[in-house]
Amino acid sequence: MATAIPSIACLGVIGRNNNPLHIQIFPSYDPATNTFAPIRTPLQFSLILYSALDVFDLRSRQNTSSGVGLSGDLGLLHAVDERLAAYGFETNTGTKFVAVVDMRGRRIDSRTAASVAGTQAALAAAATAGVVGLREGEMKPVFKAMQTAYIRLLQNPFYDPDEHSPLPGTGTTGGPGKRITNKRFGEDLRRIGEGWTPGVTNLL
Amino acid sequence: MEQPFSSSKVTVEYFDPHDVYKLLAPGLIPRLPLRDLHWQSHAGPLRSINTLHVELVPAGADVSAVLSPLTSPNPPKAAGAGGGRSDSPAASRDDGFSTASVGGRPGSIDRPESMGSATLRPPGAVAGAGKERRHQIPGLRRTPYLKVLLVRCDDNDTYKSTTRAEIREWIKTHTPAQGKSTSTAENHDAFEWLIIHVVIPNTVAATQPRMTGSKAADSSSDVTTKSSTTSRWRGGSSTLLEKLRSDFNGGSKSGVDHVAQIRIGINDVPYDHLPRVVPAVPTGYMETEQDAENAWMDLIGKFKELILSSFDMRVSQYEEDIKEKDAQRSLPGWNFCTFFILKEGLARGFESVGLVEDALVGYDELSVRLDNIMQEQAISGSAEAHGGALLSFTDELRDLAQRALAQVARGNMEFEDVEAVDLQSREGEGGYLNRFDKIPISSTKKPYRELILANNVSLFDFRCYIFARQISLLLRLGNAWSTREELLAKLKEQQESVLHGVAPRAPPPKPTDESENLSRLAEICGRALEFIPAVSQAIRRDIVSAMTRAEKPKGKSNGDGDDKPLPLDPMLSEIVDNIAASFAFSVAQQILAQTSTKALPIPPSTLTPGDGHEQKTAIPEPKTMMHPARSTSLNVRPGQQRSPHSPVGFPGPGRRSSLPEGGDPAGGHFLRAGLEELAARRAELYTLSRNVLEECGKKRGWTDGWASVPIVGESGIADMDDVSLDDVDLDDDAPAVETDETKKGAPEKDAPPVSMAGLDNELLRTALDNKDDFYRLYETLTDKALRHYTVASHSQSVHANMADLAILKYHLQEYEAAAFHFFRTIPFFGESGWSLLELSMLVMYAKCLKELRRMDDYVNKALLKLLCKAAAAEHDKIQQSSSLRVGSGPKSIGQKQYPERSAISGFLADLLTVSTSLEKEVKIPLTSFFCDVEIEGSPVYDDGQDSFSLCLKMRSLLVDEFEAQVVGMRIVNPAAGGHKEIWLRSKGPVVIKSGRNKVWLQSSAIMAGTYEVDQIYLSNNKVSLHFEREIGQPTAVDKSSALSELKNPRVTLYQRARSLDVELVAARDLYLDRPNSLDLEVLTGWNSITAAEIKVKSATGGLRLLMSEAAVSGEHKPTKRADGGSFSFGPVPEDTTLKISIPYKVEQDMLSVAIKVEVSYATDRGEGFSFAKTTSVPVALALGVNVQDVFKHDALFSRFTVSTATASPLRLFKSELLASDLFESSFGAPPSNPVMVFPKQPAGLLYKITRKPGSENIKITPKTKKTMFLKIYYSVLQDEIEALFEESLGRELEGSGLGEYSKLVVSTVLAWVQTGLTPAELESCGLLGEVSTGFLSRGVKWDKLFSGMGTTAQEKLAGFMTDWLQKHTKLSLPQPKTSVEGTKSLLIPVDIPSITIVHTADIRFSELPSVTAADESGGGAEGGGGGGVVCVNQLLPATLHLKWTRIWDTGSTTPESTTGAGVGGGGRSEFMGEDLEFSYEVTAPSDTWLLGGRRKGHFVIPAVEADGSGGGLTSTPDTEADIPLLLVPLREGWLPFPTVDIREVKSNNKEESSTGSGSGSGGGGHGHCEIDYRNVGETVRVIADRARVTLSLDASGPGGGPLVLESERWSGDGLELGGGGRVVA
Repeated sequence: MATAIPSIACLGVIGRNNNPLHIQIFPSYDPATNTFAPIRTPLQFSLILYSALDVFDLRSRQNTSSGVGLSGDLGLLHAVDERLAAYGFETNTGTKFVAVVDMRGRRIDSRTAASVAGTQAALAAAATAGVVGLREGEMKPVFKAMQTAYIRLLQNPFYDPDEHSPLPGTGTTGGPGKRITNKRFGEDLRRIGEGWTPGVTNLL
Repeated sequence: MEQPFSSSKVTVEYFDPHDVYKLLAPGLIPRLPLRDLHWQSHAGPLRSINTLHVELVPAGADVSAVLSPLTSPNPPKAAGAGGGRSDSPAASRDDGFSTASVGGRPGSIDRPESMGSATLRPPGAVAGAGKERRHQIPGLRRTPYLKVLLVRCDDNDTYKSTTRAEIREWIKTHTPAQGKSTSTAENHDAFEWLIIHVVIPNTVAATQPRMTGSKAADSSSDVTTKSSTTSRWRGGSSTLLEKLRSDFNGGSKSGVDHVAQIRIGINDVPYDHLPRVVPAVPTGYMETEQDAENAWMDLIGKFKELILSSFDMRVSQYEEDIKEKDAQRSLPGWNFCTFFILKEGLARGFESVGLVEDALVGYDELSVRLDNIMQEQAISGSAEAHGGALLSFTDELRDLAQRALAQVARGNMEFEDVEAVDLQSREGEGGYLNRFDKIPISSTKKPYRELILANNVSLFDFRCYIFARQISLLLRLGNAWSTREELLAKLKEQQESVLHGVAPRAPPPKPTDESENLSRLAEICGRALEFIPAVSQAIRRDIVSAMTRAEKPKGKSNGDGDDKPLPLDPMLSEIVDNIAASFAFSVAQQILAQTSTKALPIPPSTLTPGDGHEQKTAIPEPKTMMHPARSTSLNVRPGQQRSPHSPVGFPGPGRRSSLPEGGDPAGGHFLRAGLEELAARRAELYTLSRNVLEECGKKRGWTDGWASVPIVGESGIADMDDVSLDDVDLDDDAPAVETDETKKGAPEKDAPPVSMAGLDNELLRTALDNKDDFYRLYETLTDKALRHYTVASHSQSVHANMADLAILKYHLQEYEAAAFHFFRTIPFFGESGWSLLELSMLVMYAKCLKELRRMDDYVNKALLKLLCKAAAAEHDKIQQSSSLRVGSGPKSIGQKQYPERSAISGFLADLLTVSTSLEKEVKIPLTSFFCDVEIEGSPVYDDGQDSFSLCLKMRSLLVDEFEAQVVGMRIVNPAAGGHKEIWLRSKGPVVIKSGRNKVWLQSSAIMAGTYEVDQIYLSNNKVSLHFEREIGQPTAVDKSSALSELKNPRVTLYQRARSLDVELVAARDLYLDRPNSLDLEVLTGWNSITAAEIKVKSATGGLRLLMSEAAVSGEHKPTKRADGGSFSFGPVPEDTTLKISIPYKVEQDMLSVAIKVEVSYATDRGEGFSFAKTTSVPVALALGVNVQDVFKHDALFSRFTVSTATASPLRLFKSELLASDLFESSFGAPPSNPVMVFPKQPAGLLYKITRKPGSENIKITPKTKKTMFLKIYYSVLQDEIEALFEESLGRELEGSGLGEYSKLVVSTVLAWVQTGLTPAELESCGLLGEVSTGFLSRGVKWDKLFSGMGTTAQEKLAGFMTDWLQKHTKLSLPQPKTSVEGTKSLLIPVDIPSITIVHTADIRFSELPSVTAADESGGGAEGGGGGGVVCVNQLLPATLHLKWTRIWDTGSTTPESTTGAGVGGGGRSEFMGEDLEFSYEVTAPSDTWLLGGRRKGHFVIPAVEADGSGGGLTSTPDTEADIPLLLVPLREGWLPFPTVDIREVKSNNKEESSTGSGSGSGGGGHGHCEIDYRNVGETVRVIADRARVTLSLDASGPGGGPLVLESERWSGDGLELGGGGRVVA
């Protein structure tokens, strides 16, 4: 009996102007057809990310009012349905990371075969997640890895953050900003999205 | 019912053997609940319990029946739960919750029947049904904290005889704990006891005071004072109270008072209960109000004290136990369930005394602990290893699944009949189906605690239970801070219930609107949101493990190991899905219902939280328009009544409470703390339910529309494509495509089994029953979420939901509604760059509008935007791909999602066709649809005719191709002096493909110059794409603005050598006295002109072209001569020059004049050619001439100084002074070579002008031409140099095959030549006769100069120039011709001034001293006779000879006709005819000459004879005067001659006669007279008059100087001693 374990269904990077910088969608396992397929259309994922912005706004407002801090893990943003849930992280520059987790995105046996992080503990953690759901902090490695990837992107001298998230008032012509087209960043994210299972602690 | 408080009740048991409770209750109940209790917890700070409700239970009832479920008897209802009581199932039946609990009751669960009496229980109402089941695990039972014995003892005797014994008995049975046992089990149920002595009026006891003074110690002080008075009466005997105290308070104890006395007022006792017999001994003691109050306070105080005391005892015991259990945690065999029960007991204890938060913390800890246990078990892999195993499945779930399976099995056989099967099965299995339907989360649904205790609980149940408890606690917290009024209201109810028993409660209870703690409610929602996914996981595992276990016996499964993938039976998985979905849905609905509050104002503008009917009235206009069709269809449907209602407002307490309030919700509750959060959470729950629904619907092929959205991000697949270059997902994109298809097609074909089985939720089931209901529910849920989000001001989510709605409507083809939503939503996505969303929605929006026939909107709002956005995305893509190309490497990993091209195709054609029906023209910026617009290459000239083409290259970002009927472009020459613009057009319709396009635009107008493109347009019917740019703006530098930029906007046009051209030349021969003319030459070049019209306009201010005097020379005469300077010509063959000479006038001197010439012509090769040129020509004179006249007696010497007017030297070929009627000139020998005139070195031309012989006789009339003309033939060196360059370049260009460019090159070079040569260079050029071309090679970038010509031409020309410059470092000027042919000439009129009289004065020495031959200097020493030397003091006789002549008086005879009035004055002819008197005077400096003779005198010049015989014109010897003079030179040296002044003498009479003339020369003036003083410049050499001097050299002279002894005068013939000249000192 295969156990379905959570996997990442979609990773999104959203700029400080609430503009999408990068969206990557990962296929989920579909037991009916025994294949991998994204469980939503890209549009729907976009919409999920888009609605998640509200929670970001709300949390950042709460954080600033309570003086907790400017950045950090926001935890669960949305439970989309009983299968999908969106988790969020916001950097102190306002860039937002969203990870949409599919609670049944993988089968555990297939993961063992792939053995991306096939340590015993990780497996067990994954199994646990299958049992009790995602626990606090399970998403931390994801966001940490995403942030690392993003920082690496920012260190790229050819990447102009202002081009992608122009400061209000300056980028009048360019609209809300460009998307991230950096290849490496995309690959980083892909690795993160494919590599994560509950219990994985290091993704980069 | 007061749920929030129901769980915080402390049970107080009373034993009422005397049936006095009913007397006591009226006084007691109002004083409940207990308030302001303070409990010092063991671990934490002092806890305050605001209110503590007390449940009074008669001892007869079975206490243990009040089992744990009762603490949360009914699912805690939502905040509005001010409503019904639990004993009113009728009231709550309609809310959907209580039905469940009621329905659940008849279920098989062994459960006490006493459910309904969960709260107050009227005495004796409930018979103690069940027996008390003591359990080994403490904490299960809800035992009273306090046991009260109500005693009626009317007098001391009774007390002694019976009462005391009774009390003793009671105490003995009921307080076993006291002092004896401290077993833990007992301590868990620790309680205290209290005796209340109820005193009935009219009894002896009533007459007693409370106590005697002596025993007042342990009572309150004021009672003491009172009782001291009564003690007098009763002496030593103690009151009943005192007796009781002394008997039962057990003095050994620390003084806890267990006795209280309450006296019932006489009015409070029903009459029939009142003892008739008044005690014999009236004590006179009267109970005052104060006393009564004090007594009550005492009682209440005791209640509090005792309850707290027992509570404290219990808590300590629990904590101890928990600590102990916790410590055993690592021991094997440790059972979590046990621990759980224990800890829960504590939590419940907290809860029961109102410390809800503490209780919640307890449950939270338990929840975490459960998770930990689960995790540990998962890690260790053994369920038994730690904490005890939970059941691997839940029976109910298994049953459900099995039933569902069976149902499906049945259903599959008769698939079409599913519904019927469903109905049947539903009826048959109502109990089960209802299980999860309404209230899935309830701690009372199952005897959870017992199950837990029995280790007979599944994880699913476990979690549900914990969650239920948490929720109920939170609900309580949410209501915890209720206002005092509410409490009172509750109390009143309680009281009423006491009085009236189970009277039905008709009026709805008072709403608890102020009470909700919204953030608590929000927390509930939040927890639910986390719970649902987690628990649905649990459900799945649960069922799967149940089913696999069930199947095992059948041998189907090979093993149930977790790592072995057992492909689930699709049917089973379907059922699992269904169950999970149903459960999730139900939970969400339940939580929604429980958290609904009217404090949460849902905007009235949209749907109200009411049911479907309200919704219809409340929704705004557009929605009403879209709804009716479907809602009516729903209403018609019988038996489906629930579905339209319930989804909207899940019928919960909230709804009930809000309905009576009417419009209240909107008012005033905004921005309450937590309001937004609650709204957001609820919205999320709605969304979650909707998503669950959607997933279910998807299986049935009822999509929400997203899947069939036109632009499904096909790119996602494209991305996958790229990803799949790696390993893992290699085979993923194909399935992805398939699924996309299956989403549409599959449900009909071989869908995975779809079944209703397992869907328990009524609502969900109904919704999934058919498509309409599905969409109906979907929409309602979305709308609810939308409105909640609106309240929460979650704008993004609002838009997301709106988008969902829009898509749904679109999918359902309700275009009106869809358009409405799209319209509101789309901009927001676009704003923040979610272009993918925006695009696809635009596509749909467009379709909607099209369907709605709103063409204008369709075109302008949707299509345009869509196409623009699509184009922009395309552009993005292009940019990215280009940047990636630079970046080298594999393709993009596809972070960006581009709309699928095919989705947008067709819209363009639509746009074009639809736009024709529009009234207005649709204007679109070109850059919206095109990028990379540029002019490619250079103009291409057509051979043999004057036309050219430009290639406009642009990249269409559109998907479709379209036909542009006209493509046009305007190029503009921004140069000063005339804004030249040329329109270029395509030859015909052009098909613009997607991608790169080249369009050739042609123009038959040629105007040389550098142009910039400033407008481009493409038009098709009413759609026009236009592009405008500012000319002169720099070309785009950074990439970002590249889209709006035109690349390479500059165009250079040049005239080819043989094209039609117009040249303007100033006339070669200039006349200063006449208007000059400009020569316009029109060169037809290769054009064989059939008709031409030439328009000439002045382009210089102040230039007036005398068009009427224009003359066309040559054989081709204009066919028509229109005014305004246009000339029409008929056929003109090739290579013909039309010459038009146009005289002009200028208002002031100007250096150059410009003329604009426009030629429109037709040739044999076509029509419509046009040409325009503005040429300018310098008209300033290249030289300046000054004249100096010297009049002589018979000749006039005129000296003309010719100087250059510019920096350029002049070459003066020839000059001539043309004779006039009166004068003729003579010139010396002309120079053999032309004279070079340099700016600093003017040339002088001296002419001798004489009267023509015989001209004296000519009568001078006004017509007589007196003016001479100086004609100068010259050439400007600059011109020569230019011609030289032109000639040399032209030759070379022809030679190198670049003849076509000669005009361009020459004009370019000449422009440099004109400005590049410095004066010094020109000068040296003039001197050396050769030009250095060095100035052209320094600082001239030839390749730049020829930019815009196309690179090849540019390079060629630049190369040519470089070559040429290398070859010709010097150009030698051709040897100047000697002939004047072809040179420029300038004709200057020279007026010979009219001089009335020219005098000639001459002083001549009569005899010359013959002293020496020393010659005089000066030319005309005529009189000196060779100039002798004279001595000082020598007397020199001389003659002053005066001559005169009138020949230079050329004034006209009649004063009227004199032209030069100022020159000579009027009456010159009169002067001629009259005598003129002059005076002369000879003067000399007094130290130079001594003058003797007639130094002054008058002389008269006779008039000319009238007959004009020449005799009178010039003096004759007769009329000449010789005046003798004697001159004595006074000093040595070269002495100039004395000067002679001749002045006119005015005589009076002449004045009279001359005044009549009135001439301006003044009264009697003669005008000019010139004196030719011939001695000017002559000198006389004067020497000292000594021939010999003898000196004595001794110092004998005067002053010791030498002494002149003798001197000898100079004499002509030798020495001659001065007479007596001997001086002897």
